[in-house]
Amino acid sequence: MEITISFTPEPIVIPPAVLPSREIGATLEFQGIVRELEQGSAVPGLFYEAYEPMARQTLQRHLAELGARHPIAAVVFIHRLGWVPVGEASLFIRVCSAHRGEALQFLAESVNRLKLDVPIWKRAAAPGA
Amino acid sequence: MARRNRDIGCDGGKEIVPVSPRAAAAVFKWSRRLCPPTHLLPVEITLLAFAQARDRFGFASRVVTCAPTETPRAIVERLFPEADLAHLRAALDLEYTSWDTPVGGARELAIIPPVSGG
Repeated sequence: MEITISFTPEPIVIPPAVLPSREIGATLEFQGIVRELEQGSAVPGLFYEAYEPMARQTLQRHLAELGARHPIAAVVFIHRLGWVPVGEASLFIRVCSAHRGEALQFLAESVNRLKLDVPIWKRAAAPGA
Repeated sequence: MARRNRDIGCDGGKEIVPVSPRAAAAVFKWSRRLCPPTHLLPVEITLLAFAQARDRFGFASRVVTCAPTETPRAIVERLFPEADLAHLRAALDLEYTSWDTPVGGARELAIIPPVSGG
């Protein structure tokens, strides 16, 4: 299973869809978009920060565990850091697998794992603002 | 009575004076006070605070001196006696740990507030 994890301060650029093999029958893509309402208040965007080395390590472990349960061929994970305006993506995940079942389950559980204990945080304003 | 080295085949030609076990124990105890075991020597650890923890404690990164036997809880409470560690997690060298696990040889201790990525 190929795992690609990236953090970027720039707007997420969706990478070209290069299939890892000729046995790929399903490709799923997910984008997490910043919404205007955050905890009931309208915000212009969100500020994300991460303990990047630990986030990367924790994600790697989670994705590998999920891949053992839901065999997939490849996952691309991109999280944007810094200021993300409303309407723009803070998260991108692409999952490639032979069948759609594994891809759907892997994708759903990977987002759950992200929100469980990966050291990434959001707030309504940049620190010090 | 002292024996000469040549009597017992040692090098150096120095005279060996036997000591009693009681005297040897006293010297050992005294030497440990001057030179504590390596695993008790103070170490430096980088203390990191993120997001709400950075706001609460007022720093993002600082180097602190501690004993390897000291726990994350003890270190933070020593620096910030009013600290409330509820809802915060500790991580040593990129791995979550309990607040009461000795830091050992870890180089980095992070204070992790509830996460909210995605």
